[in-house]
Amino acid sequence: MTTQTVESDKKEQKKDQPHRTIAQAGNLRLWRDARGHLAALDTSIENDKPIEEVRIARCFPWSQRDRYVSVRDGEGREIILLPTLDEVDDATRALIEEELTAQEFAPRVTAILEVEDGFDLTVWHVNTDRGPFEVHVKHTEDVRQMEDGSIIIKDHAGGKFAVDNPIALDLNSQRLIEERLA
Amino acid sequence: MIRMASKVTKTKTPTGVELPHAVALLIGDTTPANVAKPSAFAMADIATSGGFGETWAALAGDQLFIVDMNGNTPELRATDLTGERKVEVTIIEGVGSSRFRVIVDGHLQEELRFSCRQARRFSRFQHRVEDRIKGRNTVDSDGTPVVAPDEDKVCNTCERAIPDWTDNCPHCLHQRKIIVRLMSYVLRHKRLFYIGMGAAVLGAMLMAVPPFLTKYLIDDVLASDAAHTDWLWPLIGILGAVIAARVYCEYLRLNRLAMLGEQVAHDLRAEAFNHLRKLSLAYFTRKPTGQLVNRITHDSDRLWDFIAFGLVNVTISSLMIVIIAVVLLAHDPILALLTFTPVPVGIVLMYLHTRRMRPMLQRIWAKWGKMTSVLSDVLPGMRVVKAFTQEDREVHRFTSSSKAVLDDTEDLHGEWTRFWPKITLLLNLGTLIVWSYAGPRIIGGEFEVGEFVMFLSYIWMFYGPIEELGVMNRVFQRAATSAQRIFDILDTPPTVFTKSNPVARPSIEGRVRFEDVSFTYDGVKRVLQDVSFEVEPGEMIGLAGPSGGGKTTLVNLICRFYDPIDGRVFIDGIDVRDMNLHELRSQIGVVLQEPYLFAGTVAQNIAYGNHEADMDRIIEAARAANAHDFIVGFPDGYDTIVGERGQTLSGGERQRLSIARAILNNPRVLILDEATSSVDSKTEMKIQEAIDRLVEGRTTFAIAHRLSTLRKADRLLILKKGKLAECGTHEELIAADGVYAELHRTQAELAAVMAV
Repeated sequence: MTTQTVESDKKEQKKDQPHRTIAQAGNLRLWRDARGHLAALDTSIENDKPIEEVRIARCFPWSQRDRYVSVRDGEGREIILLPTLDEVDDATRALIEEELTAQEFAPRVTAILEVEDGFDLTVWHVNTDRGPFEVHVKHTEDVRQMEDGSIIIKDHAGGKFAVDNPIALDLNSQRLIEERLA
Repeated sequence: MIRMASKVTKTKTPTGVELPHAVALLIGDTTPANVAKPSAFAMADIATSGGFGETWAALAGDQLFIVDMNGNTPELRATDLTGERKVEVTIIEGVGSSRFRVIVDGHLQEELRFSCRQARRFSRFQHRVEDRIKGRNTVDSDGTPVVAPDEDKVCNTCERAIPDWTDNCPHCLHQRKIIVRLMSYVLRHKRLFYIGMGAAVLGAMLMAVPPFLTKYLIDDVLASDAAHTDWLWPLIGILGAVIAARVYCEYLRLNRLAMLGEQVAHDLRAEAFNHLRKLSLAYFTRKPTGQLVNRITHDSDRLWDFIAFGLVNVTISSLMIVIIAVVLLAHDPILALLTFTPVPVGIVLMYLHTRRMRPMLQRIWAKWGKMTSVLSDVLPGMRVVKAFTQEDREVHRFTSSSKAVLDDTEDLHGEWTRFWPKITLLLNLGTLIVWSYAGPRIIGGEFEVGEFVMFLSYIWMFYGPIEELGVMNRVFQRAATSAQRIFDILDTPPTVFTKSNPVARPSIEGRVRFEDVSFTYDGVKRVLQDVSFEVEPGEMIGLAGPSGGGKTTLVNLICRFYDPIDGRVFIDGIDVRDMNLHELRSQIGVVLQEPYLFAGTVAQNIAYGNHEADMDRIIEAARAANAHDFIVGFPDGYDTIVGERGQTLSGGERQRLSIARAILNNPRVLILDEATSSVDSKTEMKIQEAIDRLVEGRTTFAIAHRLSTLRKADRLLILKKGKLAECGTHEELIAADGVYAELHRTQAELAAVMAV
């Protein structure tokens, strides 16, 4: 039995941080540590021990982008839910926004240049606000219209490419997308 | 360390599959010759600006290189992995973009962003780098690689790399090749094929004869100045014989080709199912059941349609067009050419028509799929729908999805109903042209009536096949798609299979050993990481830990439902990959949380893994599983039909049947996956009793959330986040005061609360 491996693994594993919450958005203070992770402090507690490896997540990344942002600890437990970012201090808000930008990648499609219908795969040559890309669509249902009229083209690898306002696209793009909309 | 190199021009959007020569050269310049070749690499496709970019990370020797290609000149940075400074590499997952970080002595040194497209490659790369940091060898002493090679899947036929998005080589699945391949199935039934095709060709040739005879009848027999009135009866006789022969040919063609179609459909169905059973479980989790069922039933049926009618229609129509064209040209070239005039226009119209139809059909298919998915979503959930009184909402959801289909069909039907009259008009225009040309000449006596009548008959025989080919175009495309979907199954290589020279082990002892085993389902997230342990024969191991810790994955690897991506699993000291799969699995018994019963009798279900078992042994097994009494309680006893539409069994009863199944199978290694979690405590006791009997003398892995069910376990393995967190007896783990101790405390508290 490899008891030794287990023992050394245990040493490596840091003792879990206890789950802590911060009650007031105004008391949340974030900063980036040397390792590049976010850390959080409760300013209402004097000499508070920082919560490490803080993660930020949007609750409604597609339908309510700017509301309900969850601040979580390294174990995936919520420290505080921010219905809006209005109540946090400027530096913390800037960090949250920076972190969200860094972890999100949802290019907006600005034009559809060509759609190649393959057998197993449809290749969409698109221009996005992040540059040109080839989106590989595996299933017809991966191109779908949301309730607000926007269209999401899903890449086989999981990437999502949104067309915010299909009617604003050029006519050729509109025709191409209309033909393949599930 | 920053280095500038000469400007490199980008040619195409990089895919990250191949390390560009320029990057390799840049790295080669800075490393000693013997380690110049990067052993692993990955491409970060998002630049710091947030746009698409190209930054490479490569591992060469003990150096981790970052080559930033986003600026005007590539920038190279290197990190020494085995030096004095402590290097960590991590991946922070995000939404659509993740970050690869290199942290040196606790300070962030590099951060690369990449999209989902590169996630698998980066995950693989991270683990290669970690291996290097730990100084672990990736090659065994005898030269066999311990880790799965980084290479991409390669097509067996054309040796091209197979892209991530498919299991098969898209190159080899090209449409034309598919029809050729389909023909190879058709040719397996040569007799049917040759008789059918021969009859079809003969029938087509005979078709051309009656108009020809009619001409003689009119011009040489019936006309006022006819010279051969005595030919009347022989000609009628010949006409009758030709018609009879043609009808017989038609019968032969339809009968033989319909049977041929069924044969091919059957062959494909059988072959597809036989192949499916060889595929790993991963395949079935990836492909929805409905889709697979559709492929095997619906698609094979479409192929029948194509072979029985499509194939022959295409051949016959093309043949007819040629024969008739030759006949027409031989008789009267000018009239023939006039006949041909509408054809090019018709072909253009037909082409445009199919091009307009295709997207419409696609959309309707998609909406149709959506409608069926509403049904398959709601029907099984009817209980919830009723409980929350959401009937109206679901009716609305279905009606609107059905309405969506209706709305789209309007365009479709508009299109083809407008198209066909146009074609008919065009072709009739052709006959009008022929009439206007030939009419005056017949009156003028330049042209004989019989000749003209023959011409008219031929014209319709000429236009008919052209229309037919237009329709066939679609049938052809549909058949190709269907064939492709079936070949797609057939071409998926089984990832878990018996090697060519397996080590024979008809009876195993049950010693199980994991050696640095890692596993991932999606190629990104590691569900198991470097798990090592050894279990003696007959030992009972309890597997516990928080949900998502990797418990079920671990037992899946013992059954070899999957192969680990790193490390090895041994049974009796033999790598499971070297064993015969059938031999291995037949000695492993599995009792699942929700046991699956097949349609059949209780006795058949108990004997599922052991069809030859006699009644005595079935009853004995049922007794041992505490199932005998309730089975005999059914009016039909052991002959009670269970499964879908059969007798309804409670969770506990099903559970005990599956235990009886495992007992009868007499496995050396037993896996209990949450076997007692979904039953009341009295039933649980009965099941526990049965399990205690079953476990006796077998190596057992029991997964349980309720730790009390593991009290008999010799040792406990605690898995947390894919790692083996703790291992030992109950007392040892309580003393260690770790994950297990905490779980135990929580459950004890919960039990106390419940007791109050």
